Amino acid sequence: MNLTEQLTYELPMDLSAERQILGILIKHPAQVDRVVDRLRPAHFMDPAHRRIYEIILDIYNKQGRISYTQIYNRLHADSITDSPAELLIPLTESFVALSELEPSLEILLHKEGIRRLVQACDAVKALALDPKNEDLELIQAKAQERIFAATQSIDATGDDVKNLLEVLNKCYINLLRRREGDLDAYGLSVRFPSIDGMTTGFKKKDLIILAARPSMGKTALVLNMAANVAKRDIPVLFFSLEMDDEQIGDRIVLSELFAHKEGEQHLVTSHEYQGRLSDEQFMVTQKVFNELYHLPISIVDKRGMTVPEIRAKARKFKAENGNLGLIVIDYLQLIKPPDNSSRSWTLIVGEMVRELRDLAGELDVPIILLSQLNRGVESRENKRPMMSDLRDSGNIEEFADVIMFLYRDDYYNPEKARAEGTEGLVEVIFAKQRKGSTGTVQLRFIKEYTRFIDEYTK
Amino acid sequence: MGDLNRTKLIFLDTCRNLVELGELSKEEYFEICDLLDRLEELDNEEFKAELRRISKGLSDLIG
Repeated sequence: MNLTEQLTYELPMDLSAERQILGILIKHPAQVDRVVDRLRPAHFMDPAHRRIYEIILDIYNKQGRISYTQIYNRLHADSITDSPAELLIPLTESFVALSELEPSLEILLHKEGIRRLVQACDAVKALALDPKNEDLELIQAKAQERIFAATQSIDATGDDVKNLLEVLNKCYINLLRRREGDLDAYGLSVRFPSIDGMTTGFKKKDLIILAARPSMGKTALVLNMAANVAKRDIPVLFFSLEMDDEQIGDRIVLSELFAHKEGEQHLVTSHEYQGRLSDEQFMVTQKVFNELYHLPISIVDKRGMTVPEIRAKARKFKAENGNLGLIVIDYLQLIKPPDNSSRSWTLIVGEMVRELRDLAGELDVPIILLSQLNRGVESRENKRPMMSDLRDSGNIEEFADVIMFLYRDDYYNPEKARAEGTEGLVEVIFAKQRKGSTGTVQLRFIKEYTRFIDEYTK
Repeated sequence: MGDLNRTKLIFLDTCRNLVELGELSKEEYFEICDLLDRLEELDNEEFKAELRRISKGLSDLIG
């Protein structure tokens, strides 16, 4: 098709089904309660039908009964027609058996869903062909947003209200899964028993903030978690705004190499991994590569990503990987804020965090968002992080479901740590848990292998 | 039922025209609307009596 060729088509509609629904609702007003959460005025293509439906909803909400007389008078008052009777008489002639309500409703929902898709495609076409839009990635992100919104609306059939039976059924299935030893039945286990013990697994829809000063091991810990999750064939999407894909790959390999020992001796040290390996070391490393190849970890390594870009890529990934289990974003302060915003940095960061929390809810997946801490922590005697240390904190505290801090005493007091044998000990401080208790657990960080060990499992 | 509602709507159109011609007051018109909404509860004689009470002219017109 020539790009300049105009595409002409009629939007799908079914005026007969529209008339049937209106006729049934006027005759059986109590049925309004059955359809009101699924049927919006926009589902009616004919403007007069749309208006009649709005009037029906209004009258029913105020009076609980509906009559042609009332609708006639409201249409007359609206002045949208000289003869309301001409609009209403066809409704009285519709076949108004109650059993026709559900099939007619399905037709309207279907037609409106298709219309939304067609309109979204039109909008995407206009967006793509607008010469003012030059940034391809921005166009792609907006296009995805439009299409995603259009597909979402088709599914939005008002299942917000769930009865207790449905809810308890789901709880009971989880109970059985836990009884059978499925550690992911309550939340997503990251296979660090101390952390899982505190969280009972990261919950779907939760935004988890993992914050620490530089060099505490934030990225290493989430990469360890991501690998542990992916080893159970649960897809992980990792947004790295700092490190490139090869750096991340090397870190994952190194972390796994830690487990390959002969006695107490590591077969491949991290230093050796960076250099030329012996045949034996190469075999060991190749075995690690083979173990890792199949892990469902996907990495987006791009600096300067915006929240809409992250959202678009996450939606696309979720659409292709329905069982997506975890999203990691490394890290908050590297996300590019929206252009031309005159608001304060604190407000902008708060807005970005809120949007990422909404994304976790929309995709039904936990998101771990790494964050830096402000320098204030360095000026205190006790350098254990506190909520107020969250850089540009603003609303982070309010929007996050879980806030975890990492603290290594050996970073600040290396000699003391050497003397006390506490080198590498990391405190994981749970400063906030919306669905659990706060407290601190300890892990050991083997820095040269970027590997965390749970002392609990030793 | 379809025919009855159709008849009601045509009757309403007529009454509305009478209001615009000044033959029927707005108060009378709304009383007629109320009467039409209660139509199923009334028999023929009760309806005629009610209509006569609201507007003798209109009642005479219908017969």
